[in-house]
Amino acid sequence: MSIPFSGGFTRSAGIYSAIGKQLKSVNLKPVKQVVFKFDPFRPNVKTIRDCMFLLSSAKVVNTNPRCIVKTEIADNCEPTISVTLDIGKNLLFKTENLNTLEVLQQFNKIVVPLLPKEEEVGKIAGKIAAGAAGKAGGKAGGKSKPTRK
Amino acid sequence: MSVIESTTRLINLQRLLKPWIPTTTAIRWRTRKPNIQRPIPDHYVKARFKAALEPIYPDPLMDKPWFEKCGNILQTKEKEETSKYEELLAKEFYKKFAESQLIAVFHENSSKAYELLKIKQMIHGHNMKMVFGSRKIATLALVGTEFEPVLRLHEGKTAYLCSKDLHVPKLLKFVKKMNHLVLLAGVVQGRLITKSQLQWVATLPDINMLRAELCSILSSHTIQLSQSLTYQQQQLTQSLEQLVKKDSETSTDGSETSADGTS
Repeated sequence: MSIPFSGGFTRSAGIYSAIGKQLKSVNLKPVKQVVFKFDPFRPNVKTIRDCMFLLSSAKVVNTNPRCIVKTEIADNCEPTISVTLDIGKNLLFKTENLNTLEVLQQFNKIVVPLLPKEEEVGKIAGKIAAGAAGKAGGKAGGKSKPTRK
Repeated sequence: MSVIESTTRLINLQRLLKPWIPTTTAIRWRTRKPNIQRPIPDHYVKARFKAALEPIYPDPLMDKPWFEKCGNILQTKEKEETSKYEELLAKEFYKKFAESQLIAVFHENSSKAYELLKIKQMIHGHNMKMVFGSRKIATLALVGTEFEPVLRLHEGKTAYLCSKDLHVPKLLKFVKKMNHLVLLAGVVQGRLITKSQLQWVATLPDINMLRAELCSILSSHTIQLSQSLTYQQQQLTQSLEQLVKKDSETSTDGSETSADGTS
């Protein structure tokens, strides 16, 4: 006897697309220094190594070229990410039992509200300008269709 | 003439006897364009025929156990097959590891191609090579070999620097200039060691000096033993020598006084 399908129907595109979405909003402007400290021989270092790779990408680094990113390899220490903010606060992520997505979500939750508002306005204005340019380009493309003779 | 007539009749007959395949073609003539989104329902008779002629497929979940029927269980990845190219890459990977005395294991951060080119230019001519490979290829190459412990460090993007010479200070000097590579550990003559141990190895003197030191340490006990065994004999010979010297001195003094005439 067959039973009907039981479970949730989700439209999520997977964890990697969620990570990509979070990465788009990562901004190091309010960050002074980021220190990655871990022991590579410990078992749960995948998260911290993935975070190191993602936060060293050109897009993220260009948001604040003055931000210092350090890596410390020490024996027998748990993997931690220490973030020092410009306002004097210090965030410590203990990534042994955390996911890459969770780390980025928490990072954005704390850091994004600290961003200056001009940047957000600039982003929205940029989006509107991009939308207008796209529409104008589409109309021009439609007008320039080749006609049969 | 009769031959031509009969052949023409044959050809005409063949044309008539050709197999006739009945086909139907839909001709849209004086009808409106069909709406695909909301189609007009079929005629009752047509609908009955359609319902009767619908194919009946067997239920795919009929004979399967309950854990395959449940929709909540995530799909497991099927075992990937390895291609010939991947096997070739794995062989090359292992070959570079086997030929080298010193291997540095790095975590690779995001970088541009020109940075990698700079590194390759820097290590060119020093018997060193950068080795890159995905986890799949590294697993294929190193599982079952003496380098299998290195796989535990291969999490995410990992790069290796293989050196045929055992010159650790030179390697560490190059590593300082590699900005996007983070040194995690090293393999020295087949032994996996941590970063701090690798830095300690860099402070050691040349291996031939260490070998000479080891030989002297090993032979020190035998030298001590021979010295302690021959100590008494040496003492005896020394004291006898001293006695002989004294006797010879006194005899020379006696002969000198007799020559002078005094007793």
